[in-house]
Amino acid sequence: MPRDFGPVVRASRFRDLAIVAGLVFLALAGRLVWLQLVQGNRFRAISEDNRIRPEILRAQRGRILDRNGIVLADNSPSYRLVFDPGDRAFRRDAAFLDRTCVVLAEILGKDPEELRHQAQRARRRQEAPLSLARNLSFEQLSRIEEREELLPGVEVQPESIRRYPGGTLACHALGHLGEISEEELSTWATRGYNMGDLVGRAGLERQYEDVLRGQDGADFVEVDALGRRTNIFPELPGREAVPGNDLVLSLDAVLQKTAERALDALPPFGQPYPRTLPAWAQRPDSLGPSIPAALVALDPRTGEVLAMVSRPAFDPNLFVRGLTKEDWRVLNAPDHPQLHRAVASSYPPGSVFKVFTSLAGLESGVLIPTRTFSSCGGGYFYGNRTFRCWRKGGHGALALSDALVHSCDVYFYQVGIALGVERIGEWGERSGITRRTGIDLPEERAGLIPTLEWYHARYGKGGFGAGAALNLAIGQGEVLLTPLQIARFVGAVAVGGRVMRPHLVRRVQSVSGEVRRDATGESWEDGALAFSPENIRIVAAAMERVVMDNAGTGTRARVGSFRIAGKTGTAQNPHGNDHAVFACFATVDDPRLAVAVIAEESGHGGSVAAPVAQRVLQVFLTGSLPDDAAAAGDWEAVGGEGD
Amino acid sequence: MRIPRVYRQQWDWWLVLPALVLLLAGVLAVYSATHLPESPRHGYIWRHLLSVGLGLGVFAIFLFLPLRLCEDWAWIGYVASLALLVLVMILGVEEYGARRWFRVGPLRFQPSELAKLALVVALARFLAGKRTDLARPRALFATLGMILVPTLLVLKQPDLGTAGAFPGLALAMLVWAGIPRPALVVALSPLVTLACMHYWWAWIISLLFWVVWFRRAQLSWFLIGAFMAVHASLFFTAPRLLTRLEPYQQQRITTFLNPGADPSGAGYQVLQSKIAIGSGMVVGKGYLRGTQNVLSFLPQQHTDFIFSVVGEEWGFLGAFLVIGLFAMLVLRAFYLGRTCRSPFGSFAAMGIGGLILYHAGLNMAMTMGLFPVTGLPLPFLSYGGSFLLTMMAALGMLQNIAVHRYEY
Repeated sequence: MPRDFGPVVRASRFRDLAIVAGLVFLALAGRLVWLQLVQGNRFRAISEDNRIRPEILRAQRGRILDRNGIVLADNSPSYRLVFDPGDRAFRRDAAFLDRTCVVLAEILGKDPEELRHQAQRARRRQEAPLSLARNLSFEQLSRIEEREELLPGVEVQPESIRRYPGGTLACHALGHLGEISEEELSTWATRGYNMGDLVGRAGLERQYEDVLRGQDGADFVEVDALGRRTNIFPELPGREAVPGNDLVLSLDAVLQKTAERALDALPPFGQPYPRTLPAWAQRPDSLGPSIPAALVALDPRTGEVLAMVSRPAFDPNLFVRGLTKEDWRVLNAPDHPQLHRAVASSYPPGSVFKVFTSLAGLESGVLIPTRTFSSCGGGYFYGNRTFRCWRKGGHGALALSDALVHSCDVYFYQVGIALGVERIGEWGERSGITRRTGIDLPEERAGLIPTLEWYHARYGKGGFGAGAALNLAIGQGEVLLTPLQIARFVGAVAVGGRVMRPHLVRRVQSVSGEVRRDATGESWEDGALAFSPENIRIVAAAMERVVMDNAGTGTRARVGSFRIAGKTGTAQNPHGNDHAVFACFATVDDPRLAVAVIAEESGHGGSVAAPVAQRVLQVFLTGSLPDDAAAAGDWEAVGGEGD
Repeated sequence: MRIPRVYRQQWDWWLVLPALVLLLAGVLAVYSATHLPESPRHGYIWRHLLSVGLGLGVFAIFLFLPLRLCEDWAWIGYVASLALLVLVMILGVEEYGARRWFRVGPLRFQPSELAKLALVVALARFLAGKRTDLARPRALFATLGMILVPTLLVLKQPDLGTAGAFPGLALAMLVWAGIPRPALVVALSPLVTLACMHYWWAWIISLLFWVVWFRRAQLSWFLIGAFMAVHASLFFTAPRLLTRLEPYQQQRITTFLNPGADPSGAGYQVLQSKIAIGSGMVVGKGYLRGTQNVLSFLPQQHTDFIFSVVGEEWGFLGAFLVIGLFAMLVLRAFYLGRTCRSPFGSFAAMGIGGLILYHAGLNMAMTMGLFPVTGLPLPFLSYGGSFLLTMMAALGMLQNIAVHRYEY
């Protein structure tokens, strides 16, 4: 404290502070006088008679393109009808509003009573104009034009709506839009959303909402007593809309289409693949019953996803137009067409999991590649029951490579016993294969390889059967993986253990083509499988024999003489028929593609899932479809034209 | 427990009465802004009443809390509040792109509000210390550091309005401490750097000016270096902090620095607020009869724009009364600071007066279009628990100081 802090000093410093405070409040009072007493009449008039409205200039949403520039999502012009029940014309004559509503309802095909109710309420609350209909037809437009006199407060505004030219093409990955809810509107207020905006609800549309949407602009218009806009409000200059950025995906539309067609050709249980495509499947944007299935194809070197399919599919265009009851029923059918099975459904991988079991066994030293276990006679007795091999006649005594080629269950039961539940769980955690992959999709779920703690928590200490390890070893029981995780796993095996984070976006660019983000230059490495390269090589060599050896279970995935490695699986399904599973990579000496296929309740992986993968591999490796598929008219123009 | 007699003898109605009237006006205005069933904030009045109730409790606590205790715990309170500010960056909930809040179940709490009070108390203790002499650079820089740390932490959230409250309230205390004019210039110098943020040449010129000036004042090179270091870090970090933000956040800040840049957001709000206030004219449109609030033109009408409700519904009479009550409150606080015999109480009163002046002045200036919009509530009127509780605590402490003002 300075010494000179006496009453005189106090008084003078107090005076300084009081003067500052006094000036502040004086300025405020002066401003109040100006606003309320001097300018009051003007503001009263604005608030009562005239209204200043922001006219929102909507930003064009960014497009979504495939890796070669084929358009997967863009915008097309359309018109919407906006109605302002607070229009001056209705002030003097309330019955006029009712009459207008009747005319409007007739044109729009709405219930007049409901519309009248809506309009009255909006007028009472002085709400912003109602957006009554989108995507007006030409007929509607001309009828509105004709009766303009009867329809004050009605305005037809051009807008652009989202369009998915490929129909169902890559629908799950792209996702869809939905109108913003009131709750979101209030929590996102500062992010510049307005009533009636469409926002990403699923898939990439949701994940990259901020990238795609751009920024709305606004004009401020003064509306006169008759509800006509008089001029742009002079005190506030408007602002241009900034269009959103385009997404360039790693997806390859041709490969995607191939994969979709390949899954659409899945036969009903027990019939040979492919089935002849029914009539509905011949039309490009058709939707029909299809077998729940999923496929993921990715580049194991970079993590780029080249094709990603879930079946059944849906048409994202439906959401843009506004859903009818029938649409809603179709979208929420019991087989969940909106579910992105490739990332959000986890399945028991079945024998595909033996790849993991082999690696865990080798790494733990419980199995030696050349050593055999007890001979397979069609089953293995353990605990107090027999665990069957899928082949009733048995396989005899096999070493690792042959056991994988023939997918001998008895061999892997014994690996499971040697490893035990605890070590399988540990390797599951260390290899990280059940972790969420971190793909740029909001729907992704994690998988599960149960650990010992998991079993304790689930069944109580020692409460689980002695057979748990046996079931785990062959990919049954509690093991669950998403198709994406399976693809990532075989992809990592293909490249010697390096795990890449799968991703869908390659590039973000502005409308003028200026690159805003280049994902190809980013690092996508996401750890490594915890297995040594040598062991991975041993297992990969065995996987190659699964496909290339005539005795293998995966021979139907062959494409010419390309060296392809894979593993089939047939996962028992407690609720129905077996799931067919197949995972592979191509080629062994130059791994460029890893594919995982799961077809629900479709039978054997080797006979149903492998041929699906084969079509994808064929197109990827040779650039042409198998003859039978080409003959069936599978090869069509894909998506819209890019530029 | 018996209430000490001083509380009856020295009770200061000049302080409590304006605050109570403002509190009442706030309850009425918040109700008006949120009472319509279609309002997205319908029913908020109950939460507001709960805050007011809690606020009265907090007022009582600070009324009876021995000032000596506040003084003893000043440092701990200050450090703890800084710790909370750091913590909120990690654990806070994100809203509108800013991390300001802790959430515990249904309760939300904004540590930057607490930090204001903590800074008042800590600065009061420091400045009231017998050996503190602001004419000496060391004390001056220590003071500036104490102010700058919470300011930067809050700026990083980002919350410009609240961040400004720290230097704002400190200014009154510095003036009271008799900060020499040159030192005051130094204290305000960071503003120069911030203003030059986008113009490096202007900044270099300002730096040259400081060097010349300091050398003429025969300041040591060490201190000049320290000064330059602070300014350089501010100059280089501030834009980085801004550009790391999402575009819409950047835009709000650009709006803050350049109000013409974003007409649709803040500019539009201010215009609507001006229309609301102006259309109130002399006697207002009548309670619950405002039209601008129904139009939901103002998303923050119950918080930052509450003054526009007052202006629209109660007209010039009501709004002028509110301004007058704030003037009374602030001047009374300064007056108490002048008469309070204990140095600590005296400084604390000045700080609280500065706090109220900063908030009330800036908020009303903002709603009337005299100042760019930053998120800043109006004391005692705005909806919002943490801030109301802070202001009630400050009021309690002020009354406490008033009651004990003749004690050493």
